[in-house]
Amino acid sequence: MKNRKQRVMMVAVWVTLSLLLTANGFAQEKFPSRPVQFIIPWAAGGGGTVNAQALQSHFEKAIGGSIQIVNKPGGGGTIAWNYVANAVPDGYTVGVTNQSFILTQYTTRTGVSFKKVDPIIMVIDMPAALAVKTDAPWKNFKEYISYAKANPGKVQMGNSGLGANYHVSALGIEMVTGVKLTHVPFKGAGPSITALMGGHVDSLVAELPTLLPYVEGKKFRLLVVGSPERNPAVPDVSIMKEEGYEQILIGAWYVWSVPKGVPKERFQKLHDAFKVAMETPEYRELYRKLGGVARYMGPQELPAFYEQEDRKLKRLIDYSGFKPIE
Amino acid sequence: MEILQNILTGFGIAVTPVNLGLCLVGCFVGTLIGVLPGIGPAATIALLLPVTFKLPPATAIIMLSGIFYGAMYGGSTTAILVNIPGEAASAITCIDGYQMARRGRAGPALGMAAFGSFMAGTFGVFLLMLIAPPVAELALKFGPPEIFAVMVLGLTILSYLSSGSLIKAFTIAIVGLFVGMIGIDIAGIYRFTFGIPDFFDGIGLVPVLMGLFGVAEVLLNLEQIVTRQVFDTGIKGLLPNGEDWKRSAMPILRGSFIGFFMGVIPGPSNTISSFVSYAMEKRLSKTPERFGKGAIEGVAGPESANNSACAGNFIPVLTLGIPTSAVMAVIVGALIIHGVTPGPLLIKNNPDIFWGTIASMYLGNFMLLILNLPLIGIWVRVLKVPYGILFPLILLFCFVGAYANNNSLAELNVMIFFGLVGYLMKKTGFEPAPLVMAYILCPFLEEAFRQSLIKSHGDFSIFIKRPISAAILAMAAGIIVLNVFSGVKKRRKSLLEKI
Repeated sequence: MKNRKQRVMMVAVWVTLSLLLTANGFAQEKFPSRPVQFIIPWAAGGGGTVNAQALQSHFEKAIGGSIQIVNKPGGGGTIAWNYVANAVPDGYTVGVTNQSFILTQYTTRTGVSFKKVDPIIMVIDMPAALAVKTDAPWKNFKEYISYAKANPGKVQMGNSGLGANYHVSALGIEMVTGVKLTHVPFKGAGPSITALMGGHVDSLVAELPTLLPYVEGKKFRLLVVGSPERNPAVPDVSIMKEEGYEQILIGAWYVWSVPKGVPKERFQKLHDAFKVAMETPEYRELYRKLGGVARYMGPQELPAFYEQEDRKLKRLIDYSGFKPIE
Repeated sequence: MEILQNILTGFGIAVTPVNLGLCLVGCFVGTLIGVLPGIGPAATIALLLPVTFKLPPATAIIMLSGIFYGAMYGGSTTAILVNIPGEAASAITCIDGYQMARRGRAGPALGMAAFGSFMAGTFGVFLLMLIAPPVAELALKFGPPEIFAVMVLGLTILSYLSSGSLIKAFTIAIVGLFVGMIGIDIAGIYRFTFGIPDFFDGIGLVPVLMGLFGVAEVLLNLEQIVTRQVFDTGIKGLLPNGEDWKRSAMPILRGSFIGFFMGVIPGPSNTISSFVSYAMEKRLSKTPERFGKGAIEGVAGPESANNSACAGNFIPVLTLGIPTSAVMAVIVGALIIHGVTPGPLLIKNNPDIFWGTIASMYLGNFMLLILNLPLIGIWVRVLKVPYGILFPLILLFCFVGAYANNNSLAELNVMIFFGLVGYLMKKTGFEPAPLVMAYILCPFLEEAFRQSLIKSHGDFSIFIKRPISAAILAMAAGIIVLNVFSGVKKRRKSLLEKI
């Protein structure tokens, strides 16, 4: 009740303001009349910023306003997600969420429940893949698994931080195949790739776009890809289902979300502008090259998608026994 | 011969009017943000990235990298003038640069920083051009045990960073290690975060630096406001004299080498290389007691090292697609958004970007020298601004910079806190440099240590079984032994004199 009252109040305030501000008292308040803030939970230069910048110009044209990209790194992303979830729901604060948004509910004390935001649109889906060096003895996933089974703890798996997405994905491999790996954590994907190239770890799970340049450069070989069907960028690499296992690898996806309670027409405007931007040939071409799929999901399917990812990650967290320690 | 042909092609790309103009724009913006504390090159490059969307990729990278090495030129300016490092890599320049300014020699300090940067920058690019691919392969040999060894070596040079008591230097270094441990460790454990999300990824470098150096300096000077003796000594000469050049020649050369090779190693190599260069110059100097009191070698060496490190930084990015620092991560982002895949195939698939960028760096370094020399005359005039106006302005820049860094209010509080800490440290005879050094090294040291032991399943011999890490650790041990011996000798000498 209170929420609705607040909402009514808010609308009243906005209407009054717009009446005051526009010379023509009957004109509707134009949205957006100031820059829309895109909140990125990671430091500049990461995939989130790249995604925002790839969308930027077409989004701006479509919505008829400008956007401002704001990096709010820290707390494993939770600083930004708290900021978005608690922002004024006027449509001017939009945040990008990914699988870590769901994961940090369990791995941090400051994680935000995914139920506190309204997802607008999925703009990209990047599957996870398992990579080894080109000169590694394992030619395919079966050989890798049977070696790891015969030598528990001997195969070293790099990841971008314990409790982070690809550590959890690697635990997923352990869970469905019954092998035991040694997990070596690095700070971020970059250092873990360097480590695999230098042979300081034996294997690595990361998202396809990150790995692809090294596969093309003949440095890495992919053993398996975590997508529902074969990926067009690497059609000769098998998927988990074909190997006879459940698809447990968690890839990277970007879903743009707003705090609960954004007025319907503004929500729709944001959605439409995102959709126009992600359907441009430039955007598709960029991510096709990177090995990602510009996969659309709208506000109807997304809550269920959040739920599904939540269930999957919850299972992995329960399996690993990972708890936020303070 | 192939290189000659390639670099000529590169120059062909770099000297087109558009590329030349935007290289200048990049260098100019870089100098500007280098001068402003807090606003670093990483954030600026990210901010300006959309501006480059309509440009060809090579042009974009030329401009954006200009911002990066331009910032290294500008970073020394505020360090020398007002004791605030414009960039972390210039923190060590504060020690002797600021002392030179207080003795009326801001001009030569700024001049030597610019000349040193120019020579080292050019030297770095030259090496980048010649030996990038093999050096990149070598860098890959640096796994966790090797990086651990490098960090240990870094810690052993702590003793050279202080001109006062050694015990105080090590005490404050331990405080630095402690500050470096705050945050989530690699096992996901929260350490001393007090539930504040802004602390999860560690205490930010920028607010710590600005607090310890800038705010503390302002607080300290408040006490002396009545006497105002400091800069009235007048400004003697705007450019380095013959004596300065004689002292600086070797430090610049050594700094160039150190910077380039450390720049290739993952981590905050610009900063570490400047610290290492400073320590080395002090160790090699016949008059180490001059350090900390305005020795020009203490400016020339580190400022050369951090510029040469820029070129080293580019190697893993351009040859392997691996970013080893925050700035390089943004450059990789820029490549991606321009549809260029960073990775081992970049040189082959996009020779225009690789060779064009390298050629533009030669030109950019030259532009920066031309740009910076006339500015010296203007900068030294800043010192004539009355304290009543200068100090509030410094504080204002610090506050804006600390907030703008990550749009975080908590970081502003961190800066104020470290300002007070820095003030108390000065009052009690502790110096900030060992704290900063230990604090920067700590996360890398710990991470590499733990990764190594995870890899070896707890076996410590991993550090001496691998040749590179064993050699580096032996060097570190050598430095310690040398130090102890020279310490004993000195004591014996002073004892003998007493008798």
